[in-house]
Amino acid sequence: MTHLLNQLFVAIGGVLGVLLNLLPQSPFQYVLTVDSNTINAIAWIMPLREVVALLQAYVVAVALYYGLRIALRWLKVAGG
Amino acid sequence: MRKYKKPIAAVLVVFLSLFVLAPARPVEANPAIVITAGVGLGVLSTMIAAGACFTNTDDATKAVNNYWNSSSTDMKSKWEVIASSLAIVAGSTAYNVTDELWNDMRSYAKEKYNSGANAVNVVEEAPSEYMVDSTQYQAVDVGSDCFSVQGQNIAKPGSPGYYYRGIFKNGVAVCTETNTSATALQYDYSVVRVDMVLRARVVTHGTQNVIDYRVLANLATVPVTARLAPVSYSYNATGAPWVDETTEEADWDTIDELLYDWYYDAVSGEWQKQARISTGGPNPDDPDPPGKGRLIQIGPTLLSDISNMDAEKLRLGKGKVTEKDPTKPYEPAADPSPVTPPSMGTTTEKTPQPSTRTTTTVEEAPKEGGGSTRTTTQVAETTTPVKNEDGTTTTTKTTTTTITKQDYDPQGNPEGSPTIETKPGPTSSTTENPTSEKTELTTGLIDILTDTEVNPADGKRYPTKLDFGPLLIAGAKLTWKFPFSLPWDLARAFSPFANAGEWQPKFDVVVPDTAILKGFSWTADLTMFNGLASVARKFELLIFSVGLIMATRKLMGGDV
Repeated sequence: MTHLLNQLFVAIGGVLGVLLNLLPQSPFQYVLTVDSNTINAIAWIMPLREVVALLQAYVVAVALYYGLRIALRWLKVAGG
Repeated sequence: MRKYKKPIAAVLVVFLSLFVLAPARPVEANPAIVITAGVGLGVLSTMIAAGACFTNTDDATKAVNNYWNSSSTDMKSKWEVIASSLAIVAGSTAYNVTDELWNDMRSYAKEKYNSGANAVNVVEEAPSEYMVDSTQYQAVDVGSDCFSVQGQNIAKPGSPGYYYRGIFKNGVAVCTETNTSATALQYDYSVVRVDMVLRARVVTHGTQNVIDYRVLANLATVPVTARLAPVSYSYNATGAPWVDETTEEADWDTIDELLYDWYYDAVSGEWQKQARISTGGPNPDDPDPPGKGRLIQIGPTLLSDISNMDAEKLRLGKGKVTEKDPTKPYEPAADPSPVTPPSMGTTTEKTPQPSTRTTTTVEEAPKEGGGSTRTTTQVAETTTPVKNEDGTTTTTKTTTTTITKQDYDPQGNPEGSPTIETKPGPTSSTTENPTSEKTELTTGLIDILTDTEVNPADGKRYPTKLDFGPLLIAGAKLTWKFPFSLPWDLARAFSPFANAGEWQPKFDVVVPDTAILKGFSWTADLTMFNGLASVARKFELLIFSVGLIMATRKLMGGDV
């Protein structure tokens, strides 16, 4: 059974691969060529990692807040 | 519904942002993807391939974790995609580390690690002090025509060249490739500490061949270091001092070959029951890189779950191999003829040869009036293996007992003709599968590393776990195909910032010559401002936090 499922996965993966190969490559791959040493130099004086981490946590918090608020409004607990 | 339009839109925007930012989330924010055994193995092997070779398991584990913590989720997902390939390697589908991952790892290793500081200790002096310690390791050059490996003499193949890899004392592994000529030997040493090596003390000795797995894991580090810090010595075979020495430090930019490929080659070769492990690969004279050994070496030592779970299987194979006392000294094979190692690049197919073992017992019974009767009992046991068409080997064992009786005088001179009595002993025939013992370890390793097992019904190998690799690969490919790639493109735009590493504020300023000014160069060293920069970063983060708070107030209409 496992063998059959694996073969099925291979088949599906193959079909998807063929379909995806028809699509063009992403034109935004320049990011990978960014000189990381320059960014590291900027990060020496700017807290880039921390800023991104903070943004991450912030977005999560705001998203939770909005989600909770919508849920409470649907439940007629909170006013809008 | 209309009044909910704004908050719903806000939630969508927020979640889109979350989605975009997720790949840039650093480890502090509770990473969504946890490093797995396969990923760890892959990361470590690629890191080693990138030139960061480690002195012990702690270093290696720390390096992998450091890299993992600094990797974007996007990179992590890519490692996850190939994790199955690293684990299976020899499965039905062969995957490879993508260029992107390879560049990412190489860039990281280049920034964080360097060969001299981490692991690769180049021997500066002539390596006489590193001569083989025969009490600890196995290979000893005992003369001009043979090596001694675990007490077993192995003949050196003739000119124009042979290979010899030895393990040296003090935890230092030395790869030696030796080329003979009429007057000199050429030794190429690459040195690395081998603390992280799992010494798999699995011994499988055939009667016609010496296969000693005890050296396998140690030797596994050799190909890694060979490209990192080659040190070449020329040695005059007459015993004169070392006369030539060249050293070369690892060059990060020129190390561009993946050891990962060797994994596949080695394991697939074994899979097909070709050379190397199954036919003498771990033999020290095998010129082929024992790639499989690295899997043994790295996996169990780095990844505790594998070592805890499968160490026994790795050591004993999966089943009925009899455990041998690791403290017991090596016992040479019954056949005293030297074992010639397989020549480079060939698959050794041994033809079963009969072997005879003779046991002689002498007893002396005193005779009346002096002298004695000497009874010599010789038991000859002839073992004749016959290879069957189905791949099994039938071994016929014939025992012949010869009893010789002869009278001796007190001076020990024989008297009269001896009486010789020959008794044919029992003949037994056993059929065994050649894969059952010698390749038991191999089979066990393949089972473990590939998550497959042999179906006894048809003898074919089938997976024991679902392999989502093809689907994951298709999913990963989707993130690079326009227009579906757009969210990931945006996410990847953040990754360089999230992955910003440490920077040494020291750089060269070069002013070229001009018509009016003579050029000069100057090294700007700002390391004295490291403390100030750290304080500045904290203040900037504080300002950013305040800005976020103000933005929040504005975002939510000033009512919070």
